Amino acid sequence: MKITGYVRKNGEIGIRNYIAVVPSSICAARLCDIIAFNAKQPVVSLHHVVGCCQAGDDLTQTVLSLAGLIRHPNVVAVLLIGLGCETLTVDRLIEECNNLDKRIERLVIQELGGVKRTYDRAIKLIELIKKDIKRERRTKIQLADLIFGLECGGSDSTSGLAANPAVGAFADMIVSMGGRVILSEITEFIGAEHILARRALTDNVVRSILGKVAKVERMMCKYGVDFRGTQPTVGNIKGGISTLEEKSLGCIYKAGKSKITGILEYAQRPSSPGLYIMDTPGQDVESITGMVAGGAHLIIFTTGLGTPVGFPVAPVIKVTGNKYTFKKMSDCIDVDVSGIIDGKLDIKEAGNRIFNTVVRVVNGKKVKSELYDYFEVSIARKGFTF
Amino acid sequence: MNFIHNNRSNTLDAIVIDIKDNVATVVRSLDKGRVINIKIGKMTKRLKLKDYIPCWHKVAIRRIPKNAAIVKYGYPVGYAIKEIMEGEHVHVHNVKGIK
Repeated sequence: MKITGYVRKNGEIGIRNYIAVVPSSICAARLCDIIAFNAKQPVVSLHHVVGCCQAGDDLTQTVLSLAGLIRHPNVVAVLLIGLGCETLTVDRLIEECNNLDKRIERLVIQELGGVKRTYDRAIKLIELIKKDIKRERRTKIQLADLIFGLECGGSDSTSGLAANPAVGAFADMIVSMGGRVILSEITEFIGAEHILARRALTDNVVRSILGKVAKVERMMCKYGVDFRGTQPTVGNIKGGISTLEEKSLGCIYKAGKSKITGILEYAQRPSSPGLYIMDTPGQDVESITGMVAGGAHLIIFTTGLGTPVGFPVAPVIKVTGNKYTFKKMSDCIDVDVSGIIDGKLDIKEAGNRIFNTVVRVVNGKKVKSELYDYFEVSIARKGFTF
Repeated sequence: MNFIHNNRSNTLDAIVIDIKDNVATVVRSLDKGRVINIKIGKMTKRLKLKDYIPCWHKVAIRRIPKNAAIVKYGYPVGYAIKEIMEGEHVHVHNVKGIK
């Protein structure tokens, strides 16, 4: 099946033509939602709640994450909206995104004079942009050109048996083709870090994996959370999970069996082919935001219990191994691999099913969260708001 | 011709994820004494259950000596704190985590 995408001026590939309405701070966020809601897709809002009263590493992380999303090749044009007096002004963000290869419009609420004037101006600009992007054409691309982010949330006993092994088979396919895959959520593999470390390509990567896990555990101790002492949970034990190692292995199985090429900081881009681990929290939306800010074109998200979560810049394909969830939460799930549990599908076939869905989504088929405009953005924090 | 009835079901009872595993995870609750078929790679093995195994729990597909690793997903996920016989329930009462 032919795989197509948009080749941008800078040579990067996009699989969508989103027009992103981006608030530089929380004070402009709601207006971005109102604009996107009325203008409709491909206009999307990158509503977030940071950008003011931040400092140091915490502010830097917000700046780099927003810059990564603005630069993302799935985004064909940007409306950047600020209040005017926030810590992260639109001008500071534009400066960070120097040499941007796409149209970026600057709107400041305090300059234009309020919500309605800014809204009207935005809608006029969107009409012009929509005319412009009609000229964009899809051309043939390779899956190996794309970056795939892996996610899991709302896990149940089927996750480690069906959905994660199936996604693992898919991840192995992509890496063997020369593509890039990102595994994240450091908290989720405490207990399996030595196994991951053994798969590291270099000693540096070994040290980074173990270092990142140790850092997360120290942080949890600081907050008084005895992680290893409370894992697996009572619910996990009832569901058959006997040890933390078993739980974490079930989770990392979605990354397949490839060697680990490197560790990425939050929102950092993987440049060469391979499987990477990105340092993100275990919270689904923060994890997805980091991976897409780092260039992920598409997210494959396994869920046993089901979740509506999607993302405005990269389609999120939801995969479940639980046939009841697939029926009950049908407006949240895209792929059903529960056949593995029934013995009707083997893991390799399930991996192929995910592969075929990925190809259709890359080529333009909307995932459930796109159909329902169910988008969430949350940038992970490195400090407190002051 | 007489066919001897066995209690082999055509539906899948348990999954062995990796051929190196010494446990299978059951996909339905199974009674003690039942004989199930499990697939280990391309091979099929008959297993008689020595315990009641609740849904999603593990059953030993080989004898696991005391202190030996419980292997699932092809890796050690814990170790046996007492000898576990083939067909026995494998869980928190006879397994401890490595760390």
